[in-house]
Amino acid sequence: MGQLSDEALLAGMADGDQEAASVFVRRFQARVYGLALTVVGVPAVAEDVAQEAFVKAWRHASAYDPRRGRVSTWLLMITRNTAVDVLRYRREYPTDSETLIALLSPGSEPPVSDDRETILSLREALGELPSEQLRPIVLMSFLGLTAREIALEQQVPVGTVKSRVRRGLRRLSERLGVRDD
Amino acid sequence: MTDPRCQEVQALIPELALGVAPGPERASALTHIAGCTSCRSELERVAQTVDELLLLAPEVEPPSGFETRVLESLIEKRSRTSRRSLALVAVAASFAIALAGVAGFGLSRWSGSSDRVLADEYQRTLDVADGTAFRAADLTTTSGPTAGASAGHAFMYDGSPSWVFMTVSGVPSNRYQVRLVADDGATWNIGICRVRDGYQSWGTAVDVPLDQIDHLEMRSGGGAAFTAEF
Repeated sequence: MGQLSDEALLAGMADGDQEAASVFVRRFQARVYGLALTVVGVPAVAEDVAQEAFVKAWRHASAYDPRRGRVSTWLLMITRNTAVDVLRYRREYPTDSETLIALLSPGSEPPVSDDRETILSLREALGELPSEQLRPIVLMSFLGLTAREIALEQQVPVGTVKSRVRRGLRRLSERLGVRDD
Repeated sequence: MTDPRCQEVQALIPELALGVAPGPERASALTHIAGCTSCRSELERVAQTVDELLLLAPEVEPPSGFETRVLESLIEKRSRTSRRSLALVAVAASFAIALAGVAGFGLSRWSGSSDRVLADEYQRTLDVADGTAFRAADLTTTSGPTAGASAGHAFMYDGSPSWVFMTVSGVPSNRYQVRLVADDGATWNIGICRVRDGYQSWGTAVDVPLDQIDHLEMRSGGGAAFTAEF
């Protein structure tokens, strides 16, 4: 069971296979909880978010489309959306862009996984982005802030935030080899 | 990309991909994207990039027992029939927690006696129209780059009459078929919800066994879909 692909485990979990669900949770729990904690900053809240993310993954497993991305990114996207909903509800933002950037670019090597090469490329690409593009991108991506909210925080026009984010994301896409199909 | 509307929409694409675009702008942009190949491709490209960024979050092992709690939660969600037979007090306690949240109080403020008071109030609310249950659920997007994002709330009152009410926000302007789906797959179309400028509040009385409903679906002809799991 431990050798099954992420997609097979997700399908098994959706069908009510408890062993598949167990392996799926074990395989992703550190990433899901780690992302939840990065966003909400409070361990007890992060645990609730992570648990809810797995429940949502089970509920929406039939909507997962492998052509649109890997299971890991799909599950993390669900986790992020769940965590951002909590942040908006609590109206508390426990971290800032500098702390986030430091968390996302640690000196240590990433764990061995199918995503290791992507993570290394992303770290390198982020390191090359100017701070003015990097900061709004991480605030938007991880904390779910809108361009308007970032503009208020950084005291720059909304249009400036939008164009910085677009330019930064375009550079990241090029660096990662993401192309239009 | 000579269409000025494409330029406006593409400026919003990072926020659309991240599910944080403000409601009215989001609805209008998604309506445009549904008919524009160029903007749709741009949204998919950006969505893929921002999704990958999430891989950068550090891995952290959750507290001991996390896996067990998740599995128990999944089993509990699957066992809908037994869940519905839980004592009213348990339902009321959940309702109390929801009310605590709505009122902006911390959960720690709620003592056992407060829960009992709310349970009594909940019982009286149900008694007004011979109700047996009042349930609420998040309405979420089920497809596209923003799958899982919040799109509003749905409420069901099982009484005389029974009714369903929804509030939606940030949803593309369109006509949506609303239907209820039972645990055994049976469906009931309960009406058309017309969303304008991204927002709508809509409700109707229904003659449907609400205690058997698994979820509510809202679908447009163009394929946009939303669901609320009860």
